[in-house]
Amino acid sequence: MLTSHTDDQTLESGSPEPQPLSLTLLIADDSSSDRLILKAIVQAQGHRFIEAIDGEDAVAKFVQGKPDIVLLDAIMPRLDGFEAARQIKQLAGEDNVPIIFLTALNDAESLAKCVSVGGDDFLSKPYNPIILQAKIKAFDRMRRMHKTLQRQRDQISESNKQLLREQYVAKSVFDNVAHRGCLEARNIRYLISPLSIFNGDVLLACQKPSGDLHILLGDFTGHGLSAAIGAMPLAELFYGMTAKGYSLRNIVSELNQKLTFILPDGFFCCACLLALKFELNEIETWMGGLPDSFLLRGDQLLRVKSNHLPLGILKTESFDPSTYLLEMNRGDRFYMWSDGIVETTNSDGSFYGDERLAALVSQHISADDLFARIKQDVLDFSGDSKPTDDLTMLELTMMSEQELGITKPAQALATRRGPKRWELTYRLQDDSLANFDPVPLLLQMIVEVPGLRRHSGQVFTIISELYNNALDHGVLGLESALKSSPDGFARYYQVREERCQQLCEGYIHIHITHADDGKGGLLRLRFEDSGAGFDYQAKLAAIDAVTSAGVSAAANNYSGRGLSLLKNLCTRMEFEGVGNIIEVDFEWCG
Amino acid sequence: MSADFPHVDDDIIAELQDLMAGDFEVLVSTFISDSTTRLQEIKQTLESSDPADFGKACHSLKGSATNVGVVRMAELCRQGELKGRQADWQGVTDILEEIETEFELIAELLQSKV
Repeated sequence: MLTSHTDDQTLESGSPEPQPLSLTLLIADDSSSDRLILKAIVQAQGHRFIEAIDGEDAVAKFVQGKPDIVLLDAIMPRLDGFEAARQIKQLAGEDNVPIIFLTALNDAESLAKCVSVGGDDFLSKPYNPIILQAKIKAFDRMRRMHKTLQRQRDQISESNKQLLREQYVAKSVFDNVAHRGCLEARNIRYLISPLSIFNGDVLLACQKPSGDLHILLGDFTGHGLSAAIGAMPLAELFYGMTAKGYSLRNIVSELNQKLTFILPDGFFCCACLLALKFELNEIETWMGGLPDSFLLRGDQLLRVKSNHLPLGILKTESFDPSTYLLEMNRGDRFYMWSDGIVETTNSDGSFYGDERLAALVSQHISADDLFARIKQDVLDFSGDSKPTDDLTMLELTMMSEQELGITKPAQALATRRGPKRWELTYRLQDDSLANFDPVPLLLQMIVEVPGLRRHSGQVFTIISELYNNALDHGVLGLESALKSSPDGFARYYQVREERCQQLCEGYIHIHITHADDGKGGLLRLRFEDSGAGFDYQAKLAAIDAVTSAGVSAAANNYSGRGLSLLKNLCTRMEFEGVGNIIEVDFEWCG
Repeated sequence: MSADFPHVDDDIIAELQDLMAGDFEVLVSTFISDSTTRLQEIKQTLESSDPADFGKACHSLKGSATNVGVVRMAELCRQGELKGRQADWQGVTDILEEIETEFELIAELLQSKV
């Protein structure tokens, strides 16, 4: 904060009539009788004086005595007044030391010379005390004003330096916190061109433990530092929660709550959050206040509209974290941007606009270099007129997780002090089932086991699958076959949403145990739901048949995938009861 | 034409007496001794070959003469200054003599005002 600078040094507004002040005047005149007269006048006005008998003396006395105003005879021996004035002005530097020439000269040329060498005024002989007094007063006022200006200028320049120092520090902190995450993944292209040191636009990407990719594009109100400052808690939360496996809904709710709390009125963050789900070939979106995003599915352009207010406006009670789920297959692309793109103006002041953007995208919908084309087109459009907003754009392509080329950050060395033998029972029931996602919480507990954090991706996948199966197919009774019909994808989520809202009875009972064996351990998870169960024997047989027929998992349908994934990750998978109980073992090593 | 000017400007004298109060006497004696020196300097410039020096010397005396209100002497100095500036040696000795005569006169006049 910059308070230290404004406490006691508030910028002065020049007071109308300063208190008469005793000034020091340098009187340089080679005539002693003239000096006597001047001294008498100056003293009568309450000022102090320093005498000099010629030009050289005047310069020397100026240096010694630092007078406020100099009275200088024009014609003097050794060094005349003109040359003395030149030297004095040079010595005074940026201080305003008025020089009044004392002169018996009265031709215009000589008087002009007085001014051209740096004199500020002249006083003709015979001296008139009243005129001299008026001049001294006028120059004193000017001198004070100049001093005030100098002080204010110094304050401003000091504040500015301070500000830059602080910005520099803030910038490095900012860059560490709001780092780019895994934006360098092979399926991402992005453009981020800030208008000032700090960017009002944020672009963050991070992998969940499951391998799914979370992306956030945020556009804060304004530009520069004030806009960027909100990006830090945003990034912290986004990275922290994503790494812990929270869902997009949870994250967006937290972000909104945080920003609503910290941002002043009138400040908010337009945002688009994405979850790219590689296993499911889905993209989940939450958009608030940004221009339409485009999903390019084959040669189809689908618009994804912002159906929410920006983050940081609504209180948690009225905030809606609901997301869209869209099918997105290998090679499909998703484009999102801040309004800097569509609001780029040309020299005529007209906007680049959404229509032009959509037309360009439609025209080159299959072009590999579409991203570069858009960027070039926007820049060509703006021509010589510089962008007035941060320009941010991102292209996201669906590919397999293995192709992303993301190097996972080295996990911190697992602490040896965590719990190794424990068991946990967790029961979630009734409407809590629809409103709360316990997976991140459970994951946090589990990865406290020394060494197990390294396997958090697999553990996350196992718990998510178990929980989602228990909730969707167990408690909510959804038929997974629904998804495989042509428009079943959307239908499935619609029905799911409806049943969640109606849910008032039901439970999921979770029991987890862990036992170490020195090198690793055994994690046993048992999930029981209140659903009607299913014919698990038939399903397991189907999975086995598919596997033995050598059909790749990718060709499998949704219904089988959850179980076949579990079967792959776990050393044991068994159903009990009517199929409403499942127990799996995850054995891990090192 | 210098005869058109009074020897002293009484208003200026009155103002100075007022301003200097007890120091008026010091002012008069300072002016007289200063001017005596300056007259010597003017005389010396006649021996030099540069009329500008003569003009400058006259200019200096003119300044202090103006300030103490001895108007006719100031006018004579102005004429001498002009000669110097025009590099005109003609009649400079006459002017110098006139200044000296005028100086003797006003010196007495000023002392009488003390």
